[in-house]
Amino acid sequence: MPEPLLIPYRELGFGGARPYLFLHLTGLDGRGRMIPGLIDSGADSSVLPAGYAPLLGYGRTDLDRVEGTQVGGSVTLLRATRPSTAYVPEFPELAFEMAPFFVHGCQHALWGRADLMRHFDITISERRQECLLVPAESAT
Amino acid sequence: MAVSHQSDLVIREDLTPYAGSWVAVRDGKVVASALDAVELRDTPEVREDDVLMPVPDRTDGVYIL
Repeated sequence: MPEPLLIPYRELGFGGARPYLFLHLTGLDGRGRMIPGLIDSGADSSVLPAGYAPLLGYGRTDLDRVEGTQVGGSVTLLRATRPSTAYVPEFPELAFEMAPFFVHGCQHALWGRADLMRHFDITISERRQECLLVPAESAT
Repeated sequence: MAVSHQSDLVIREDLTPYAGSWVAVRDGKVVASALDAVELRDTPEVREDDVLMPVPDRTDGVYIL
């Protein structure tokens, strides 16, 4: 049974320690990449800057244009119609599907609820500046 | 309980000079930068296992995403 994992807040080289997490994503082209993102309970699903779409092998025919809502108002999202495969590097055996939304102008990957948080129970402690990831199969 | 700093993925360089660009990071250091992701991926210095990421064009202030 995988143990829970504690990940301290970190900086990404431009200031501000935040709950960043690197995930390994394997896209449609079969290539794997480490991508840093913010753990974001406010995101219904994971969101990636649009530049990651070609890096993960997504072309126009693999993306549906949909409207979404963000804190500043409406936003156009490109929804992946086929999933990538993702895993937390410390848990390579716990891979899960991720069909991300790509957004032009987005400058941070956001790890949301529909994928990462269905497979891990996540507790963020701002006071202790750390995140606790509990694999779902350990939590049940 | 295990604790991970994802230490092999630590970024040891100040990225603020690259604000608004994409960077390729290897062993914590920037090895290349470009204005977009594909241009960066196709840069000869960039390897497949490098971390490619955008650097926000504003790196200070409060984040409300």
